[in-house]
Amino acid sequence: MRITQKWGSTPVASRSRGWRYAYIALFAGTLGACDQITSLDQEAPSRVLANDLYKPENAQLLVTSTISDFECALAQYIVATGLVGDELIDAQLSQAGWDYDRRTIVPSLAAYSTGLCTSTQVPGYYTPISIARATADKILTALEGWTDEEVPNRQALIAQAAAYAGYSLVLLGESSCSAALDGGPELTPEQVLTEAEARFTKAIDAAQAANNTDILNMARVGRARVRVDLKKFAEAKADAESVPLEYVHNATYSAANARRENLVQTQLYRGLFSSVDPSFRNLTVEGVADTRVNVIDAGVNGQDGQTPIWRATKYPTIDTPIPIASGDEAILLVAEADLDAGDVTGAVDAINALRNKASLPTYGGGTADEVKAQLIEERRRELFLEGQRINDIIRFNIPQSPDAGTPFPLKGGLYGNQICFPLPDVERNNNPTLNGKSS
Amino acid sequence: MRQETGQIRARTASALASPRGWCSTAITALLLVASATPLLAQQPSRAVSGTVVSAATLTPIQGADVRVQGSETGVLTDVSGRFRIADVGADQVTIVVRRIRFQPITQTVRAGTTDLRLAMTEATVQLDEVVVTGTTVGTQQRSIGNSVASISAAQELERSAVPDVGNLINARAAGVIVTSGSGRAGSGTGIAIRGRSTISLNQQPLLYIDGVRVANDVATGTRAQGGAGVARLNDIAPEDIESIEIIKGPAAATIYGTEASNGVIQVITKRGRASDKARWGLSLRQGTSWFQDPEGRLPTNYGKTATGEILSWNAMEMEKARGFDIWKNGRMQSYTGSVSGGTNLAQYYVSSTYDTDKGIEPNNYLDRFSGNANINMTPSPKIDVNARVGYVTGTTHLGSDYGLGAMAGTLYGSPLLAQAVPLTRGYGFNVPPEVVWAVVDNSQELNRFTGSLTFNHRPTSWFTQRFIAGLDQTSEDNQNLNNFVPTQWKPLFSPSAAKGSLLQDTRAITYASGDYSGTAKFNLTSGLVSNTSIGGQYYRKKTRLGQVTGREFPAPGLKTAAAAAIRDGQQDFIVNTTIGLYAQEQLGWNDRLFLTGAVRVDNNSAFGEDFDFATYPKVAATWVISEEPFWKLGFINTLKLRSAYGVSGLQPDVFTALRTFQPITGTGDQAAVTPQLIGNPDLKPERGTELEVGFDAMAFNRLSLEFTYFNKKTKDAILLRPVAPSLGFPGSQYVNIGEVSNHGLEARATLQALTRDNFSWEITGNVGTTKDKIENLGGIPFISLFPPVQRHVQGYPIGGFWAKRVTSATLDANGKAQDLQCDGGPGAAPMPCAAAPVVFLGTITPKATGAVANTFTFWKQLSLYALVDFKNGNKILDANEYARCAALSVCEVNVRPEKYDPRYVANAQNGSSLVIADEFIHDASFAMLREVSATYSLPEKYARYARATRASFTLAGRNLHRWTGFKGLDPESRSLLTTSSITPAANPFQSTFDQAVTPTLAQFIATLNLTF
Repeated sequence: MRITQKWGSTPVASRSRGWRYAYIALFAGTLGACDQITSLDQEAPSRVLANDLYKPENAQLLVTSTISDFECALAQYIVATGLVGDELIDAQLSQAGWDYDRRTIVPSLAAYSTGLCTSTQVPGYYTPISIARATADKILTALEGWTDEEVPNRQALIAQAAAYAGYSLVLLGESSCSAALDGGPELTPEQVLTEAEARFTKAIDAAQAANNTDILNMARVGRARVRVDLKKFAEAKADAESVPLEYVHNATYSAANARRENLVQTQLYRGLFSSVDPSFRNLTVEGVADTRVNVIDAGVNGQDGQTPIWRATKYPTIDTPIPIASGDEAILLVAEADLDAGDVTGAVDAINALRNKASLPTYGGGTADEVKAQLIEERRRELFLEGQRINDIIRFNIPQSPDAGTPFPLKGGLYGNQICFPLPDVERNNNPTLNGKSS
Repeated sequence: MRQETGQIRARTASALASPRGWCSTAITALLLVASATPLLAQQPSRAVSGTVVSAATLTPIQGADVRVQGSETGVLTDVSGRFRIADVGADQVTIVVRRIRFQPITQTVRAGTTDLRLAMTEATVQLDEVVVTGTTVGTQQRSIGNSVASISAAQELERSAVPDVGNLINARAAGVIVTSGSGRAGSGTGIAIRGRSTISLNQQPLLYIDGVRVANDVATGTRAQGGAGVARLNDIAPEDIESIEIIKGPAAATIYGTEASNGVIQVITKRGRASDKARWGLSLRQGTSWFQDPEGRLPTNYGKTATGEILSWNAMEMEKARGFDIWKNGRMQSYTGSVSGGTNLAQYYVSSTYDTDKGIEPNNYLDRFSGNANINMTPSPKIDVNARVGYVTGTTHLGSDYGLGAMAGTLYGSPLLAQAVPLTRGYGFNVPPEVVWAVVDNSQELNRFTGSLTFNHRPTSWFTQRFIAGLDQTSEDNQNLNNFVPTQWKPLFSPSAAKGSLLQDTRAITYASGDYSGTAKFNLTSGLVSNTSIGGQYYRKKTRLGQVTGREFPAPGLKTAAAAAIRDGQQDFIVNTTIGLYAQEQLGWNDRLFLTGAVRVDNNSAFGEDFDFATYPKVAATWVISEEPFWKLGFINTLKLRSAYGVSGLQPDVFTALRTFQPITGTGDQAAVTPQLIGNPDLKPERGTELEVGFDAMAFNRLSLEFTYFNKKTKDAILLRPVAPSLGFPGSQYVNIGEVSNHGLEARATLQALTRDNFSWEITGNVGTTKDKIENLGGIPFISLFPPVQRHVQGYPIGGFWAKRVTSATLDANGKAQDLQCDGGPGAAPMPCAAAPVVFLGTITPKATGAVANTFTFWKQLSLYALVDFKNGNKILDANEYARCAALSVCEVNVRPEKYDPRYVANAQNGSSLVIADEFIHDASFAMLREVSATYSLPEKYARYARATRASFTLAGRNLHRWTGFKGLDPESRSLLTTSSITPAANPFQSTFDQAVTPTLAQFIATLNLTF
């Protein structure tokens, strides 16, 4: 009753005040809601902000990520260099891809300079490798700045980051005419390879500290490879000899999405954008089919409708791994070091170790030059479509075929004499050190 | 949005201001009606009735004030242009007709005349016309310091039969460059106002419908082979538009804020008017389109066999022999119905349009339905409310071009291919036309709702405020469907491709906006008037993106990703928010001299975190000098001098300020990230500063003239500077280091060349020039674009053409070009091409654009009209010639080089990388007989046979003849780049090359308009 009286006796002004409070509350609530929609903070629901990423708790994620960048770059690299070299021939309709096989790459060409890891038809080259190298170096630097307390298993992560940085540098050093790192000056291949050697040394030290044999062997093969490139044969042999013959470290692939696919397989099997070069078809060893280079006639033409597709059975499925480092390669490196040291027998033994492994007839040997030629032949077969051939063509000065000036079949233009990848314009013009200038 | 003359406005306002005013008006009307009947019965009628039409288009003019000279008696014309004055008060009187935008007319008539037909001619200089400027109320032309282009859409539509809004704008506004993509049904246009002023950002203007910001993306659709050609501007049915106003640059667009540097297009839709009964309108359009002279425009291709035999191949001849026409005539149909009317308290306009078009290829067609309702209410004298809803739904099947289409196959075919793979019949890229049509379907399904609610409130006599709430909801389903290939064509595809695939990009854009503005008007002294405006806007654009891919269908007829063997997908959303405030003060002295100052402040979520907000000032002045007492030049009836200086902005893209990593599937299929954007925390909007001066004049009561000079500078220009890959990031970085200048002239004139009772001749013309130059590129030597012959270079136009230019060469005995000498650059002697630099070859932006139109009207019933438009001074890469002669080697120059200039041979033999390429870059200047039409407006007595109050019939031809020195297929067509996976490219019209794009098509269109 009292309450009723109070309500009943409430003056109009007081009742208005009640409504006024309600309005104020509603208005305040509206403002609060408005704040939700008028916020000028940029939402990024599908992106990771850099400021949130480089923290010790993300160390494993960052190392996993840089390995992922490398694996993608490697597959792109094998196709790109396979086309420029003599492992693959072009079979696609997109003119953007013809310059690889035609050997007419110029620094302004977009495909090789800015093509990304997501390219499935026309492979990228400079950008995927550079990203893989830079992300590896960046997490390597970060890991070195963090402590073991902050990052569990830090030495093993350092070893991985350094090894993958080294391999990115190897790819760049072995195939480019020149390159740049972190916006720095234009480097010769030798300078890039020297950087690679330093990364592998760091990886070896960290792997030993972490007792990680896998990365240790990977880094030893890598350092042996780069030391052979730098003609440090004795040191290369020391690294390579310590790697077991059965050792292999692969890049992994899967059918999860285009970026994860084994691009070599995609090109030869699904997209039909490339075909295996005739020089790798029907290879034998003294009449015995060479199982290391098993290439079959697919019975179909490529995407261009005219180029017969020959496939390498080495990568039968989209998720077939690709070797990054192996004992097989180590043996070949040992052989090369032996030849350099005048140990022809050692080189022949190394070749035969691999032939025996592949159940192929034994190689009888010959003069030093003959054995060297045979070693080059063994390398192109053993390391077929693993991203090694372009380096051999460059360093052994292997003649290009067809000759420069020959009409590029079916699609127009003439073969050029390109062999190494020039520093792309996108690097030269936007690198703050180069600033458009030639070195 | 337009208002009537001062008298009408005053009368309406006073009527609205007082309930007694309504009452007395109504009673008077009733008395008039009541008294009229016996009067008519007793003596001859002294009524006069008739129709007011546009002299140029013969379309009815609604809202014209028709009155007896020297009397208060007057009426407004209805939606059909009809009027009736019940008693003119004398046996013979002089009728005066006035309407904004038209020159007043007078005519002596006898009382009792019932079929009077009055034709008004449009005037371009109307100082009392009210235009939309962004503040609360419209602003009179006399007080605006900048040029505002205005297009009378309803009238232009009828005589031009344009299919879409982009073409409605084309050639009708000085300095507004409309660029077409392709001739395919449903493909859209790009618009650049006053040329180019941004290097890396989108150059499209903002789009408003009835004051509400809406999406204006160009080149939407699938990114596959020419599938991205649909422009959101064309979602608006031209039939629903009353007028279009174009605000051209920063000087005018300051209070539109941080995205308005490219100008603003205001679309004002049709509204209902009070009338005694509902007015029904019906418009039927039927037309056909065709590819003019394909035999004469498509080249013959060649090939040399291993034995040296030269073979030729011509698709048109080959198919003619087979009795097969590659391109059929297209068909266009459009049906529009509308009803409008209302009372003084509420008016309505409701319309619906159905379009169904077929292109010249079977996989190019569209069906579109749109509905539009506009309701105005005046619940109290102080408040009026407008509500508009628009909806459009339909599907556009664009077909395919570029590298997978009938055009590509025809242009790039080869006799050698015909021999090697007979199934291809020699068509380029192995695909005969019928195979493309059977396999490829690029489509966009659209559902778009646009709604707005506008409150106008006049709480006092001196203060007016307005609030607009708007929502634009666009939903696109873009699909590139490659059907399961029929068995007979499978050999032309890889096994995987033959099973088909689907790429679906869905995009839903929600554009929400709120706009408040208030204006206070004070008379400071007897002659000095102050208008003070304040306002604030809020825009929020949320874009939801989805992408699904499916490859390899197990059987024919399957069309979804769910039915594909290999599937992939991703989803994302992007939000961008802008908040802005402005204040403007305008002082007017004796309604002749006006001074305006304004400032706007904006913040946007795309700005870098180290940048706070953008401030844009503006000042403008106008002087109607012809109204000064000292004005003695009687032959100049009107002269307004104007000048404006203002600043506006152009915001960077969302996320471009942030350094981000993209989540990916990593090694071992683990979660991982990879570098995505390098970002820039200092990123801020581009700042466009513009000064424009000019005048509007009317001379001899028959010549209207507008003239404008503008000088625009873009500072802090955002450059899309490619990132050096060695830094570990892909793509580009947006940086504020550039500066661009752009200046030009604009003129528009209308001349009533001859005006007689039964004949009139009107000439209209407009011309705009523009010259852009990159003043500063931040020390970057150049930025390459795609195609690589386009570059941004300091001191030269945006995106200009650059290549090595061969100055001399010789041919050896085998026809190989040798001793190549190239242009050594400015001031340098020719040098061997290997060492020569690339040199500037021309600009991509037309230096001059414009149009001339002539209209002849006979007996106020028949109108003949022709419009020629032109673009001049720009160049284009003829990618067809490049691809045929330098990349694919199927030109005659490739097999018979001795017949050609050695310099051209040098290009053909060395141009595959587009470095030596000067012979493929051509002047794209042209003039086009764009529109020609005859409109006959039936006399009312015949219209009545169809129970109509008005009937008109128009036969129009479009794109019928082109004058050009360009030797390629079409100087207008463009391959539109879609650089991003699921969002339209920022600047798709900056790439200027034509690669196997369906050219502009000729059209004949017949239109019947009926009003009931």
